[in-house]
Amino acid sequence: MKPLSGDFKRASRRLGFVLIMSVILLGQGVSRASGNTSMMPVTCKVMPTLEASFPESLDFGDVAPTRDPDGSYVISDTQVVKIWSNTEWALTMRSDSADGRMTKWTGDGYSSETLTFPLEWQLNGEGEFMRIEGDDISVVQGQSPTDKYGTALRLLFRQLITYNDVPLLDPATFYRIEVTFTAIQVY
Amino acid sequence: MSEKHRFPVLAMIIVLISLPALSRSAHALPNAMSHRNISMRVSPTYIVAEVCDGDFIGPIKVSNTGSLPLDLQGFISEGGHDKNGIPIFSDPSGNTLKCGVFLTLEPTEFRLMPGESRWIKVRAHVSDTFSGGAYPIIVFQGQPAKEMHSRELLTSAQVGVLTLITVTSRRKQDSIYASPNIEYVALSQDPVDKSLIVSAICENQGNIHTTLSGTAVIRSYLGQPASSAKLTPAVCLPGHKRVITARFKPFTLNKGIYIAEVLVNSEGNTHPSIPVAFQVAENGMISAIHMDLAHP
Repeated sequence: MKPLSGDFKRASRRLGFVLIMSVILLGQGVSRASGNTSMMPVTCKVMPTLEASFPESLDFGDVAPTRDPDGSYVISDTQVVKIWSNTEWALTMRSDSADGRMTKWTGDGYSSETLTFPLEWQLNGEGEFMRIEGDDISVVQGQSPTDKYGTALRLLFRQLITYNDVPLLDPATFYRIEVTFTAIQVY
Repeated sequence: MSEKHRFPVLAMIIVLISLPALSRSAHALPNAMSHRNISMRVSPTYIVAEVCDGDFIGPIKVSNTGSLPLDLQGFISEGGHDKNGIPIFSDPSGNTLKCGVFLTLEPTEFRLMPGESRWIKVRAHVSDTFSGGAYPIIVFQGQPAKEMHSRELLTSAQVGVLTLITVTSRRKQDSIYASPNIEYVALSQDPVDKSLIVSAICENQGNIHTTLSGTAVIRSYLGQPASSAKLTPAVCLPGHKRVITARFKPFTLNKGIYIAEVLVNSEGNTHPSIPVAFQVAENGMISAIHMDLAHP
């Protein structure tokens, strides 16, 4: 190995000295700067939040029975319930009629006249139609938190009309039922 | 286009236009649809608070996020849950102190135009002698502001707010405690990846809610640990039952007899379950489960 020259050694010493001084001066500068600053903690807390959109009403219109029971069903178009939630959630549904049958509405209140069969519902076009009840029934439960697009639940309602159902001739009266949807987060 | 081809082309166009209409269900009514929606946002929907008589909790912000003016009403239901933590509503509790705590809303009825929001104050009223947990559910019900007598099927929209309220007594003899009791342990296995799921049904026999957590452990029959997995934490109200589960990552269990045990943690104490013995066949699947080791 070639021995190092005296100039090179001197230059190395100078460079080392300059580096050490730079570190010391920078360190002092940093400590002086931090002495003049203060930390501002910025915090927030995201609250559990639920947003829901429900169909406002549904009108089956003028309906008529037929001899064929399958042909006597009046089926709604798809009704969409949409939920946005940042924790697990569930949706229940109930009617104001204990047995789920539409009842004659006189404008002031219900009378005793009811349709023969209850209103039925189906979720997302899957499974059997189920009758609606006066107690809360689970539409979905244990649903994961949604993204910003939410989760859409597609409901169909159907009503069987038979020749046993009494026609209502007074234009001010009709068969009516009230459906209550409840969206809630889970424990 | 020649005269000869004009008619078949026209007929084809008419058929193509008519196809969607023809393919519709004969009974799906075009007028049986809703054009308007009730939309509302509620925040927070879960409130945990320790209160004294007269304290406010919340407040809760209710917003009309739809295009219809809404009439809103707030009321209080008695809370509770099923084994999966799904809230169970009971009748509105009214302003009674039968549970030691009742809540009042200020205001209880209000109207929100589209885009409007309102902060609702919630005041807790506590009886002098009560200590423990109370779990009322606050429900906001929204309906379109106008009467809709022409409709056959009306909907009401409700969004619930769960509350976990703790009242600490000043009297030393009134203790607040949660007491989880493991009633049952069940085993199941995924037939595809053979992973095990251990579930425990716990009842909280105390007077305050608790968060159940812990581990499920699988040991060989000789007592050597084979694997363990954390239970998914879950809130359990007093007097209610809750299922908590642990899913083991897929691992190979050799043929033999094993023991599964659940250790539930609550309030710093660990509560072990009765061990459950199960037999694994050569293919790695559970072939038999024995629930009671005391009576083989």
